[in-house]
Amino acid sequence: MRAGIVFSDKESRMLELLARGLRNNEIASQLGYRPGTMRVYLHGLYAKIGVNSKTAAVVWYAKQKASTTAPAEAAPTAGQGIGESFGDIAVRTSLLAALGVMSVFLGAYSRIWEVSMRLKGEEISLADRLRRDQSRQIWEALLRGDWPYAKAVYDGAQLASMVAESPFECAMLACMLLIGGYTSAADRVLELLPARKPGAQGIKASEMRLLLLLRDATNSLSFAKIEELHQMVATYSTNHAFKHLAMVIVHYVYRQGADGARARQSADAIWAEADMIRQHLVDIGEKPLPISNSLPEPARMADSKASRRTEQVVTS
Amino acid sequence: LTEIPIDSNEVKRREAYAALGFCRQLYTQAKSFEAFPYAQAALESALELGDPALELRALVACGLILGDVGDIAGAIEFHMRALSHATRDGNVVEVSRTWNNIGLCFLASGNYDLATACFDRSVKVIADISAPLHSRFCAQCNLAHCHFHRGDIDAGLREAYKALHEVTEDILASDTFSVLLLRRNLVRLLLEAGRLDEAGFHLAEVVELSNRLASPRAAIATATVQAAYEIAQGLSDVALTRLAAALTESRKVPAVLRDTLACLAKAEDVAGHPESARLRLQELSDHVYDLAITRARQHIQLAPVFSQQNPPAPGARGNTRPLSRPLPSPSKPAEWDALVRLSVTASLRIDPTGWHGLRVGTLVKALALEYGLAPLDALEFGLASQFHDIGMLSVPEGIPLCSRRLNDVETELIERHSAAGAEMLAISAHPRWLLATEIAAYHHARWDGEGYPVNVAGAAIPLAARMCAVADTYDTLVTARPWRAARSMQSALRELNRVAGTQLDPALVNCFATMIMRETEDIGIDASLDPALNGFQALLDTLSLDRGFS
Repeated sequence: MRAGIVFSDKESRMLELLARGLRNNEIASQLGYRPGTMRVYLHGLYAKIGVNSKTAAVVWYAKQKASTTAPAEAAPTAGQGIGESFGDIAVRTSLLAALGVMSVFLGAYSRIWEVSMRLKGEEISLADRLRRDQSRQIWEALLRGDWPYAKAVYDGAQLASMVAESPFECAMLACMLLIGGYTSAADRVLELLPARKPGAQGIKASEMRLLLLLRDATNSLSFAKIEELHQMVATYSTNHAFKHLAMVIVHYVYRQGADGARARQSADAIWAEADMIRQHLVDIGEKPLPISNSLPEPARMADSKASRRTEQVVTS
Repeated sequence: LTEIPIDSNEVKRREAYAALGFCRQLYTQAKSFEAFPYAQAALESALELGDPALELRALVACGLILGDVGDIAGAIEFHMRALSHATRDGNVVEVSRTWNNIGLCFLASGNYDLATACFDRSVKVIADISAPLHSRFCAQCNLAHCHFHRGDIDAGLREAYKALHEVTEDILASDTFSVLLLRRNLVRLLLEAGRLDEAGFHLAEVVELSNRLASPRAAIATATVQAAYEIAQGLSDVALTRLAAALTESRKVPAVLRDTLACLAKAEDVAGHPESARLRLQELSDHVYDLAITRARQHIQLAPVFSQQNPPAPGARGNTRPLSRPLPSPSKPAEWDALVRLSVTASLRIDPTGWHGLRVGTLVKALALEYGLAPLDALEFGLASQFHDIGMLSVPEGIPLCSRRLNDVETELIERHSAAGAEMLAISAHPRWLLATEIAAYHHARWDGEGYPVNVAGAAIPLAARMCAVADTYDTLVTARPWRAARSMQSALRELNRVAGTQLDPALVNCFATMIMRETEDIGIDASLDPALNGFQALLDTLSLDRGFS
């Protein structure tokens, strides 16, 4: 439950019953109160959570519950609320599930990178492709909140080469380890990451600061740390991959602190960012997600293998 | 006939050698533009056959041809490939020859410092071989030429005498023209040193060689140096008459027209006719200007050949495309590769390394992002800014990197580069070229309206050109020029702040300073280091790394 508000067992039970849609006298009979006493208790509860009606209390409870339940545990139940925003769904499921294909516009090696390579007339080499795939896999794991993935990469053999070649991807990994609670693994990655020096790969000061801030924020959620995180998003706004990473981190920090409203708002901001980039691509004449609304032609029954093969070529 | 086995590889090899021979002929007839496809075909066959000797020859041919048509950047690429082959084979004479060729490329850009370094290298590589060598002779001869232009007369004379020792009967017979040029260089250097008698002796040799050769090129080279000698003797009238005759001859040989005009301008100046000198310089400039623009056009026409892409089928463009078909995705324009190489070539005239254009492009991209442009728009601004100085191709080489104070005419010539650039880039309606044209035309416009072109100031200057002006000024400050040392990044920012509001757009300078300070701090560069070289390079590396614009 929300930090700062402590509920007695009776009060928690009351909230649960309210959320199930029971009437006041039904709740009273379940808890063994008289209806008059029940009303007094309920109003005390409303005051405690800062609402003034039964409906508001039910809504408040539902949101609290959604934000405190980890996505893996929350059974994705559809249609929990009326007028749900992106943030609501993201908080209920995961950022990746809510963003879906829109996630290609965010992070390092995003669609922007692909288009920029084409505009510059540069070939995307095999090495580029491999680094891109690695980077995107980590990015998607971060978006779906798959912390064990980070631990698996950390335990795997490729960590040493990643530290040397892809410091930014390592920073993403460290973020995931921190959020996932693998503290000692995260500290080890932080130690390994070399500082950036002229002419060599390394981690930037801004990236290191983000990691340290995140580490502090996961230990104790203070207003000052969160303020500083917000500040970083604004300061490095021209560095898109970094900005997106910082935004996602802000989202998770709020989520861990069970601040449902802000977790939702930060998720909305992430969606808006992705949508802005999609629009930008449309503006320059790109078709970022070329889709047609017609179903594919159904495959005709073919007699021989040969004709089936040609059919496949035509449809593919 | 059917009984004689035909080795198809052998046929191919012979064809390739024949193609190279044909190239050579076209090259000597100054038809290098036509020669390039043959050289390239020979190179392709060599790669196919896996014949290293043939490949090396083809690479050298490609390099020489591109250098001749003014694509210095492309020429250097081929020479570098040849160099790595020769190095791998341990063929020092070939290595030395290749360094000499690379030096010639820089010489053609008027970049005498880099050229000197290359020729030095060429000589050093074969230091162990004591017998006279043609490549050593060439390198020393070219070194003498470079030192003459850099004003280091003693070093020039030293190299020229060394080269003279290398001349054997063989060289004299096979490469008479080079020996003539060596003697000419020697005369020029001696005149500069005030040693008239010795100069007279070598001049006689020049005249003798010229008579033996009886080619127009030799005659013109001889006439110009004779005139220089006569001016030194105080006979300027004779000299001017001689040069006027040479100029008439030169008009038939466009390759040497430039040299003759430059000599004539200098002679008129020494003889006390500044007005005529001005006219000659103007003519020289017009000649170079037209040549540069024509060449740029030719390069663009040849773009499909040069970049090995298939040219569009005739009639493929036009109004055959149905309206309903969607527009193609944005991509790089077709002329991109050709113009990138030309712009690097142009940069070589003003910057010792040739990367000025790219550096400014990177800075403009970062500035545009900081200013709030969307990422790909910022990228386009950066890419288009690379070409801002392409018009420098129209300025006679040697003037932009000249360390003495320029006179009015020369300043005017330099100022023409913005108009020339705009003319070269106005090739198609591709958005990037439209943007690049705008940048080239207005990147020297000042915020207070005192720049060129005149009659434009403040926000009326296109945004991209204003950004380019900021980045251009900054890059010029933190890199060295022959007449001043490089500054630290911090002091360069102070200088930008000083001229903000008069020369540069103050809002953009603000943005730029914020961006530079934040980025240098982020990657741990000490901005107060003097000069900024390594730090600046690290900053550019970071800025140009855009995996998804990180």
